Amino acid sequence: MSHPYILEADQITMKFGGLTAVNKLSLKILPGDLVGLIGPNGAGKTTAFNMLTGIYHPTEGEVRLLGENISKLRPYQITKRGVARTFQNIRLFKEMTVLENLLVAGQSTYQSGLISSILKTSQFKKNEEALRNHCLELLKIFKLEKKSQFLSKNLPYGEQRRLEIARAMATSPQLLLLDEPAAGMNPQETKELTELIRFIRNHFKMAILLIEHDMGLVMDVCDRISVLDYGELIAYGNPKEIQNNPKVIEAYLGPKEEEKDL
Amino acid sequence: MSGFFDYLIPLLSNVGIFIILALGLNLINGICGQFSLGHAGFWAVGAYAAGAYGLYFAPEIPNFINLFISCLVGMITSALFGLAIGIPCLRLRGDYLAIATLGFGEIIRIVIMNTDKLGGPRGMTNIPHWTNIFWVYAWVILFIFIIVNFLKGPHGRAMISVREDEIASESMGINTFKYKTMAVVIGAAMAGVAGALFAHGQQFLHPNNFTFMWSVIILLMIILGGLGSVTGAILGAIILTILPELLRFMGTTIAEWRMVIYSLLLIALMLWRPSGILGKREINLLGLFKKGKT
Ligand SMILES: Nc1ncnc2c1ncn2[C@@H]1O[C@H](COP(=O)(O)OP(=O)(O)O)[C@@H](O)[C@H]1O
Ligand SMILES: [Mg+2]
Repeated sequence: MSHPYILEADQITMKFGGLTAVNKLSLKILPGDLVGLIGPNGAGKTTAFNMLTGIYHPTEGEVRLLGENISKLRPYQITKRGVARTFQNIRLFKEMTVLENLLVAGQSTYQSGLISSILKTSQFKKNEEALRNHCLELLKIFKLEKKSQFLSKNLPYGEQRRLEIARAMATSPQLLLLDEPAAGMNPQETKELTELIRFIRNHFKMAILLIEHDMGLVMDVCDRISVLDYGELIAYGNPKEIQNNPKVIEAYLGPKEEEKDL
Repeated sequence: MSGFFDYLIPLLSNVGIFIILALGLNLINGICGQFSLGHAGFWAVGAYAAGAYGLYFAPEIPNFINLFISCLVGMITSALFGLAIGIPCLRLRGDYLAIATLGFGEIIRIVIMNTDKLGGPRGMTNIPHWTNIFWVYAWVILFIFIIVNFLKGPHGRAMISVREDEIASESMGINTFKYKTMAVVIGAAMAGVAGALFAHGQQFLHPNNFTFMWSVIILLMIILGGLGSVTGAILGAIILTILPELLRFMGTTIAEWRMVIYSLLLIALMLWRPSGILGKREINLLGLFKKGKT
């Protein structure tokens, strides 16, 4: 049995007490897909990400990764199975260097035992060397190699965003989840980010799920877009269809005048 | 002159024991970012386990072998207590560990107080004298070696990442629960060894040797040196073990004001160096902390 979808969210719901943040959301992501997830503030996008990555466990429904139900797994287990993410509010390891941020993310691929790392066996040194090279290569791709020894908290904002993506990539994912990567960026930085996202997808041949407020960016890079409003999926389609979908326009611009009067 | 050494050697032994205690607590609080308030409890468990071994179980073998076995007994017993407290508390995010270790430190004293075999309120007496300054510092050096290498490797980085941001760490494939538990167990194990060395140096243990105040003093040591810094923990342990002795030289009145002086020291520290004397930096004697080639 083969599973065409990398990730499948099947009618997932998240309730916080009386509030339903996400209601029966379904998503399907194919290998190599670049899917956008948009919607007004508070629509439930980040909550959906948290369910896909194990930070929250869905109240109802199921998340499947290559056919395996991962709804009950812890975040680190899901990451080890090939899903990596960034955060809307940057969450770097601030007091660690840029390189160390990546080393932490990369190390489950290059496991060394506790004892061998304390005794510094040759096997351990080989592992560390391979991990280091893997991470330095990524830093080069993300144009951060000159900053590898900087504490991550000392990077300018745009570079911190880039570092977060690089760190996620260090886990060697098949699917990358980006939560508003362009937030707080200027137009020039946003343009570079757009190129970077395209590059990642083509270079690493991986699927990306992108939450973004910058419509230009979303319409530009995404193959298909899902639109959330008040926790419900209200539209799904290619950028053109989404732009012309009356429900989407309403969600973003509010109801039309005549309807308001009623 | 010999009187001076009779005074100095036990003092330096105590410094070594507190270095081990501070290094262990620094692993839990400073490096992994979990708040433990019961380090004296782990110390007590190790001391009494070692004392019991010395009194009831030790065979007729050379002292240094008995001391080594006794240290292992203290280490394993404390580590098991660390495991038993860590597992339920660390599954959850939040300050459960602080509350549980605080309670543990007090409960363990009351349990000892009411256990006849352990001497109860009279204290445990006649523990064999096996500790000497050489073995204390052998353990100090062993633990420094282990911690320094641990921190330079992947497991140390993982533990630091838990302190930096637990959610991000978990999302980068790190089993944060495992590393939090590891920190508490290793920290407790080290306190167990410190307890064994203490028991076989003092030859007498009393529950009141291990009050909450001692947990606070060990905590002060690592805050003073700089939370998260290994050399800072060592420095803090040295200062806060020697300082009361210096105060004693200045007369009994000043010695009685010890805790007030500590408080003032802490306030001064908060004002001038809120992250401790060394912050998260290390003193780089011997190039011990040199980062690997990059
Ligand atoms: N941990 C939580 N507890 C309670 N309510 C939450 C929690 N996380 C999110 N919410 C609520 O869920 C809704 C969706 O939030 P979120 O997913 O962050 O929206 P978006 O990312 O689309 O802006 C909001 O109303 C928010 O207040
Ligand atoms: Mg959000």
